[in-house]
Amino acid sequence: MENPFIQLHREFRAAGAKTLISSGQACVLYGISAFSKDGDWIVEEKTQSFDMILNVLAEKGANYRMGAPLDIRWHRIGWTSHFEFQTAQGFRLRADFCSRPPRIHSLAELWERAVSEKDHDVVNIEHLILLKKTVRIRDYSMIGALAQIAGLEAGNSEIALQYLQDYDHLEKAVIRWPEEAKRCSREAVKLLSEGKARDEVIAAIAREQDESLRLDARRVETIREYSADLQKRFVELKNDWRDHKTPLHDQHQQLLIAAYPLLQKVIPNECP
Amino acid sequence: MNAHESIQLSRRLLLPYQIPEDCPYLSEDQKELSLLTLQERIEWMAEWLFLSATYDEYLAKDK
Repeated sequence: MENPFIQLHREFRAAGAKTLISSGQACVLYGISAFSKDGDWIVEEKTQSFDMILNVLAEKGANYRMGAPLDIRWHRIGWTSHFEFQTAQGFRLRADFCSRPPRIHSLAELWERAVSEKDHDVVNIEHLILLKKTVRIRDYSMIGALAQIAGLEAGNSEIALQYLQDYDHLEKAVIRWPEEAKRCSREAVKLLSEGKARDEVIAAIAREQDESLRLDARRVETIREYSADLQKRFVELKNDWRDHKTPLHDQHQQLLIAAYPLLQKVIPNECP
Repeated sequence: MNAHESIQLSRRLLLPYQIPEDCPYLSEDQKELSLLTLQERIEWMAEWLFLSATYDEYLAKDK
């Protein structure tokens, strides 16, 4: 059975769009997540990549979901675009795009360190960990798993010490890499190095998770605030598009006008 | 970690590997998935999507 997300990625590639599979689908490819219903792609910040993706999606009969137009002007200030369509197999596929993923400050490094295989291109483990520092608590299990496998198991002290999310494995990492642990700025690692009580270390891990959760929650709330007016207009547009079976390229033209005020609002990209 | 090391580390996880038994973060399904090749993981995902769509369809008929 053909995987519609990978098939779509191949079509982006064939059309000349440079993209990276990210987030949930990347977790599936790396073997740590069994299932993800959404597809997230990071788009190279070049007009051609945006145009080609829109063409591929238009051929699929895709429709816009609430978000910014798939246009470099919105994306380079942090906005994202969202689509859905019925696949040939009958799935309702949701596809999301951004060019400035949250918590990643060097786009050059993101692309330089991406992993390209025969049929797909995927964000690397380090960047995937940063992307997973979201408002959803279950994502911290993914971070912990990646840190155990790519850090503790693979012998990478940096990943293990920075991102393990439980006491027992973090303690193992500190015992194994005492010098690196002493140089590490993470509070939980410092406490372990100093021989502090388990409760204190656990509290430090929890505080750190909470800080990341709140930071992402603020980002999501900012997007909601900034796009409140567009949200109202989008409901009208969506109804009109449904009634008139408006093709995607026409939806896009209308959304460019409706979302124009968003160009004055830059989405913050803080790092925890 | 330099770019080469970082890419190599990521590539290792695209190959079959064993998630440790003591991993507190992942379920049995996920532990099974990591043992598969990349192509098998992609196919696994497609099967999940098919089952999910079938279930959604069943729920919609039931309403």
